[in-house]
Amino acid sequence: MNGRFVRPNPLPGFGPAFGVTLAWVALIVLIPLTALALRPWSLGITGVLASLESPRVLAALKLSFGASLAAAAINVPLGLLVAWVLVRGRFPGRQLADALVDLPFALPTAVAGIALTTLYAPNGWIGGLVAPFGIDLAYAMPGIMVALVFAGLPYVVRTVQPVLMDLPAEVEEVAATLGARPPQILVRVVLPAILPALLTGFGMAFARAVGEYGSVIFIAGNMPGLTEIAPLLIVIRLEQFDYAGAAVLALAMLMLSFTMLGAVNLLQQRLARRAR
Amino acid sequence: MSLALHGIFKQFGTTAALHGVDLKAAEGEFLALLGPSGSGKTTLLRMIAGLETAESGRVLIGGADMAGVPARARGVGFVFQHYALFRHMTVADNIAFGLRVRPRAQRPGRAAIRARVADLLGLVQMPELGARYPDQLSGGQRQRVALARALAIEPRMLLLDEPFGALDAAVRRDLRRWLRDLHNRTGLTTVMVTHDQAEALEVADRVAILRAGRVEQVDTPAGLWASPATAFVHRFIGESVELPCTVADGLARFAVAGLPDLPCDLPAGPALAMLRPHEIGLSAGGPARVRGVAVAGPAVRVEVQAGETMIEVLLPPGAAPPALGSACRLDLGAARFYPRG
Repeated sequence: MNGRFVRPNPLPGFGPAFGVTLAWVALIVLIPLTALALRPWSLGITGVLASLESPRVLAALKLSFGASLAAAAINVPLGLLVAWVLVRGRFPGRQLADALVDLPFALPTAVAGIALTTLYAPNGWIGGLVAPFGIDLAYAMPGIMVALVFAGLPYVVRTVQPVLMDLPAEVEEVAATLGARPPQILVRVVLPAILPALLTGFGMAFARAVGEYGSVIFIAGNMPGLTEIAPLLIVIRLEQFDYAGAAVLALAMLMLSFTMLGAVNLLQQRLARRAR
Repeated sequence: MSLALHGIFKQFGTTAALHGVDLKAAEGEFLALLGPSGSGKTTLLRMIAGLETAESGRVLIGGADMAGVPARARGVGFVFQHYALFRHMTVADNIAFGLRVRPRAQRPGRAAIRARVADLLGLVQMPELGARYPDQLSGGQRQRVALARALAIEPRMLLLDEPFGALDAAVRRDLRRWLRDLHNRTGLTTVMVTHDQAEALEVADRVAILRAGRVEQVDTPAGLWASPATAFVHRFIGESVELPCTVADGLARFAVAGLPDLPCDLPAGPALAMLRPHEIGLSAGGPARVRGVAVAGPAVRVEVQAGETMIEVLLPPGAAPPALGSACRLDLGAARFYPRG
């Protein structure tokens, strides 16, 4: 820290700007989160631990974080593909396709949930195709994954797209003239350049999936211990006026998310330093 | 390896970029493609490399038709104006790239690759800089790394797209001398695209002048200088004085008053007489007037007014400058004539 706060700071108005930033972040983020962190302890430490150890809570946390990680992992290669096609491709309807990517951002999550459910339910267009084979899409794990992948896709596309645009096509062309085959160009030239952006996209898609509520509860079936996500369990506890119990779960989610996003950031910083 | 292009035609949307280009480069030759921007020279170079496809026409490298052969299988080294180095790799890794991506059976061993990289670093005169990243190099150094990377695959031919375009004047001059020297040592067939006529004339064995997707003339630098085939080439290759005239009965009559008629073997019709400023003779007494004299540099530059037209004359070194406003006579005997319109 020493030397960073040299006075007078050459940036005009840095003092007031810094003050407003600090106050704003405290008001919007820090104070609510602190309140959340303090709320569960009215149960006492044993109460908190007991609440966390119930099988229903553990199952919900496992589902929320496991499915979100898996959805983010699926979104990374798919989002990269979409971004690459949108950046390098020249085809009719490209602008429309580009605009469509943003839809999951803009759509109310409940609308997305209803749309996905009608599609994947056993009597829906897609669900109907596999129902005769005894496969359930909606009201089961695949349905949850579909909803989470849907919600996270634009995050990966929109973080990778600008970096891909900045990567000159000449770099790929020169690799081709040097004898590299397309998979080699992807792995040795394109991926190293966009890996930090991909990681950011992964982190954002993951964070969005963990917090996703509206679309998942329509398609998940919400069977306790099986397809019940953690955010839903929080709502259920709130409805039962178990505020401390809801806060226990919320705090656990907060800490898990914080740890994972921290790890992603750390990895990204290391990559950025290596890639210079 | 030799290069031959036959009837290359290319269209971008509705505008034709290349209209049936024929061009040859002999084994070991240094050919420059010279033309203003939009003349199609870069498109032509990219076609040789396989980065662009022609609508019709054939590209032959070493006599073999390259139709359907992808860029990676052509064995040509390509150098871009903006280097296109891999930023996440060190200089040494950049140079080794073309060797490392080879199929296992043809890939040299680690030690052999390291030795080859060291050789090439020596060749481009930066033996100490293998561990640096491209961001830590100057523009001239980056372009030499790009060249070393292209040479590492032992290409059959070297293709350079405005290789010195992004560098400042002093570095450019050094680097093009170095490039010519490198060519003399390796004897690699080289095609270089440039819009800088001084660069093309200094470095290349032969220069092809392109204009709006057509080849105007292909010749040695001396040949281009001595006998430009068209008025465009005359203008492009160096300073030109242009005087409109009309040809009738083997005589060219100038539109400008006070200039004597000259014999001319063009068919009757409007024509253009073109000369270099140093090819115009100047003698005292006559219908023209000296309007400006500049003595900076080795030769004296004189502006002469004939009728309403100003004509620039470059006197031979050592000649005495004429007095401002004095009467003088122009000798246009060295003029070359081109049909006009």
